[in-house]
Amino acid sequence: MKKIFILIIFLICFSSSFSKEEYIYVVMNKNTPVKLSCEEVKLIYLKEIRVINGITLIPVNLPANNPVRTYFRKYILNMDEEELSIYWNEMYYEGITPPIVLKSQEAVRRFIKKVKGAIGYLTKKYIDKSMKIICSIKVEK
Amino acid sequence: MGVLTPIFFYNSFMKKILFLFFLLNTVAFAFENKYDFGRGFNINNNIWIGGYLTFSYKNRDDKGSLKFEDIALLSRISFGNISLFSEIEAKNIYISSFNSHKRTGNNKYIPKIEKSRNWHFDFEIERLFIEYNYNKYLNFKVGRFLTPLGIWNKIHIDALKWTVSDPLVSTNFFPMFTTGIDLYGFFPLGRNIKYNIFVQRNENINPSYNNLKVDKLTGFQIEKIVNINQRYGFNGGIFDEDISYERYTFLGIFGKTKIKKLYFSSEIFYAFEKNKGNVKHKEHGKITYYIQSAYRVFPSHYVVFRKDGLYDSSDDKTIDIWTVCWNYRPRFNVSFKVEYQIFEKYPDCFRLSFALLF
Repeated sequence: MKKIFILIIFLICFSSSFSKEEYIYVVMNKNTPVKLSCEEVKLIYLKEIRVINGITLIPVNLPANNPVRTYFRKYILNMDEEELSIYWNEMYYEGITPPIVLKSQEAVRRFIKKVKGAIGYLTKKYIDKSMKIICSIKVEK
Repeated sequence: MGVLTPIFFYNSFMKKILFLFFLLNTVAFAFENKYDFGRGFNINNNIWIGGYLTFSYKNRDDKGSLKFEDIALLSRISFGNISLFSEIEAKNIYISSFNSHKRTGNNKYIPKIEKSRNWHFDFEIERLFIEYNYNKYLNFKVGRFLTPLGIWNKIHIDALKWTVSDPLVSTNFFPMFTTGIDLYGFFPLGRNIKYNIFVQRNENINPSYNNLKVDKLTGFQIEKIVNINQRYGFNGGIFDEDISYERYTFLGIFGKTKIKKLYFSSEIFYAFEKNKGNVKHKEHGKITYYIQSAYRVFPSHYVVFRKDGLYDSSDDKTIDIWTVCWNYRPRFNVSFKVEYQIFEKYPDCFRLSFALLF
């Protein structure tokens, strides 16, 4: 009986360590009257699209070393750091800069709540009713 | 004289004043705001100021030149969906050249080193436009902007391109700059298909600062964006060259992609020329292309190969150029390059450059 109990505990621990998956949600201010697709989010973060229906879109990033940003870059933008650097160099020549960086998910949450047209990406615990979810990505840790 | 050509653009005194204004503002902002080296400085997302500079060395057929090639200040001031963009540039600021052979009356070369140095500090308006972003499908620029054609023309400064030299595509197939209007956006029904339609019906702002003198130009481009490193498309247009009274019709295709560590790009342009004057003139066509690959050998080190070709039916001329370049980027905004070009019918060329976005 003791062995079975230990085995069950082991299996729970083992399975939980491997099925640790989380969702990252791309969100924007609920009062922004635009509908976006996940593909458009990519173009907005690359500033290929800067305005929709007369509303200036303001994508916000987390700091470069934040793991949520790394997942966002990997799963939504599908680009590595080198590709992004080359891309932003080219946009620099047009006077277009990378998205602004806010220091934490809490700061992103507050910014989206306050600013019409703001777009960010957050984990589940930072989502609230003042936001609308554009798309979500499943990341496996 | 067109409406987009106010007289003061030609006044070099005004250009100096404008540059000085930007320079003073740049210094003032740099001290007051957080400055990000290589990304300029950004004030409340409304005012942005940046710039770039280039030094280069070229040696060909015992003639060499060392240049402080350019320094430019870029700025974008945004008011909601409208922004004003400008690029003010000083070109060929310092040139030190030497010629180690001198031609005699008998058409023979004798060894003799001739040196010359030249300082020149004059500012030119390279780009100046107002941009209005209405939505995903419709935006426009009015003023003087980079002609939105192909790959190379949009990134022709040394800090952005993979090689020191430019391919033949960028020289005389279309004007590098247009002074007019550019409508652009994504097609409503297409999946990430971008269009540009641009028109010029007036004189250039700063006409001497363009590869071709053009007063009438109409062109378009259709580009499919698969992802940022995979784009392809086609373009075309028609323009009248001011001096030769020649009318050019051009068509082009282009594409770029990335496969693991390999960046690959290519452009092909065909131009057909017809003389508008009364002079008896043989109509002719010309075609050019380049194929370029940049491979990351080590982190920050890239080896680049390019093959350029041109055929001009007016004089049955062909040009073939092989280019190999080592591009070292110790930081995203810094580029050191060493390049060697082999010309099939002309002397080879060696180049070095250092470029920086600041």
